[in-house]
This record gives sequence, C-alpha cells and structure tokens, in this order.
Amino acid sequence: MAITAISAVGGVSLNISFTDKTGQSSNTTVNLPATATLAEVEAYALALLQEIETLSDCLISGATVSIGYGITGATAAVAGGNYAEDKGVFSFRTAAGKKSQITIPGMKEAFRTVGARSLDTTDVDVAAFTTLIVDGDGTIAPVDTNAEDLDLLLSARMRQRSELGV
Amino acid sequence: MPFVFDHQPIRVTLHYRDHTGKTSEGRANVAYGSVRADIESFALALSQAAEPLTDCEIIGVTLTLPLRPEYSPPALPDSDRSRSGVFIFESVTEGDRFVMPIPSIKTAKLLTTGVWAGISIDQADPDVAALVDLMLVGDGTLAPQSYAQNDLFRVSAAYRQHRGL
Repeated sequence: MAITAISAVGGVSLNISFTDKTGQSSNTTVNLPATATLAEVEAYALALLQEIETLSDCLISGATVSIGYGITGATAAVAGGNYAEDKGVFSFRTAAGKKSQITIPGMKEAFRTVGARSLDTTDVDVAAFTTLIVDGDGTIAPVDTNAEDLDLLLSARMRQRSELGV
Repeated sequence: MPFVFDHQPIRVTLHYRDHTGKTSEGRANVAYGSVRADIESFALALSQAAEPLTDCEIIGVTLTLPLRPEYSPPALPDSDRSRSGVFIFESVTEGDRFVMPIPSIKTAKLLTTGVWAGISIDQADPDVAALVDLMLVGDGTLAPQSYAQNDLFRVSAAYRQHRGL
C-alpha cells in the first residue's frame, strides 16, 4: 500500500484562547463548515473575536484554525522497525540565513550512513523528500516560522531514541 | 482598538504511529495566504514523500492557521477563567446541540432582575445578541455548526457557570 489521498475529517475547528488576570488560560471552540476557505474562516474569526471581546473580562490571547485529514492507503507501521522517537532530522537554511528543521519520526535505519549519524541524502527517496521541501510542488514550498523560504539542505542526521535518555 | 491579526505561516503537521502504538509528528510551514486546496495537494505530496522514509504509519494530517492578535486589551481585574458564560445552541436536528463557553463572562451581561438574576445571560443585551446572531446567522459567508455539522438555529439556554460553586 501507499498513500493515495488525504480527505478532511469533520469540519473546520476555530479554537479561541483566553487568559485571565492570574495568567491562567482557557479556550472555546467553534465548528465551521468543512468546505470553508481559510480566508472565509479568518474573516469570520475576526468578527467573532470582536464580539467575544465585548463579553469577556479575559485577554483574548489568540486563535487557531485547524482542519484534520484522514489518510487513504497508508503503509502500516513496520513491526520491529524504528520507534517514533527515532527521527530523521533535516536542517535547512532559509533565505535569511536562519536554520529550520523538519523531522521524520521513525526514520528507517536503511537510510543511515553506516557507522555514522548522517543520512544518505543521495538516496532517491531522501532526495525526493528534500527536493519537495526546498523546491516545493510547483505551487507551495515550505517556509520557516518567519515565512522565509527554505533554500538549502544543510544536514540530515538520525536522532536516536537513546539520545533522548529513554 | 479593533483586532488585527499578526499573520503567521500555516502549519502542515504529519502524524505518525510506530509499531508500539506511540505517536509523534513532523511539521512543515507554508506561507500565510496559501490557498487551502493548494496546501492540501502539498500535504498529500509531503505524506507520499515521507512515507518511504519512515517505519511508522502516517495516520493523519492537520492543517493549522494560527491567528495571533497584534494587540489585545489586557485581562481585566474581574477576569476569572473559572467563571464562564455558557451558551447552549440547538441545531436543526432534534437532540443535536452545541455548547459554547465564553471564559470570564462580564457580570454586566447577566440578568439583574428576576429569579435568574446573576445567573442567566441577558440575551436582550446588544453585545450578547450580536454574538448569538453571529453564531446562528453567521457573517454572511460562514455560520458555525454543531459537532455533527448541522446548522445551529436557536439558543436553548445561556447562563453563568462557576466552577467550584
């Protein structure tokens, strides 16, 4: 099996966070239609936060819009394979020179260079992944948290479970 | 001061599960303003590119758009998250409800007379009515739904709830 599709599960969730005078937080969630666009949700969220602000003594600290997707055709976890904590850690450099990491939990041992922690970035599958991150899919390309493009793969290494003190 | 959002990149999170049942996740950010359908196509491509590299099963994807207000008025001295205004909405399907708590509801929005004074939320208050309208009618483009994704059509109860009382 291999992944063939992703499909939205449920609607669009708008979660609003509040903080009171003691710094304690709370939240409330509103469900929106599954077909809503992100621009529509943001416009609605702005209107809703403005209304809620008139009713609550709390600080409205933020909101998140979440959409969950199910996977079709995923390959089952490999029995005896690497654990979720065994991660492939890919470090990229942004256009602004900052480092940004993307991890793959359960990274296959086969991609690790023998006797080293580094991953074989010349492998076809690894290269396909890193190319998708750097170049994107033709429409979307990942950015870092400052919205800077990821320009260059700096390193790729395995971070094993034992390094976490497990 | 009106809310303005400080726009952040949109997060695409892949969820993984290993053979012991433990879960983990890996995340990529994409630019704010990207179209949802384009992000979904990218998320599928990312899942397909990550799958050959992992011994885990990729069990799901979450798309998250953070909305951080550039400025929020500070919490008022009366704020207390354990005091909530609870709105119970009924959907168009009988028995299907949606509960919306608003932490630290202002006491000025509660009824001041009658047996429910200090407990029931005053639905005639313009601010309360505006919120209810936004929940039931929406903003002209979107309107919220119940957990079962049915349209909401009325408030069946709105009251102050105080944890510990």
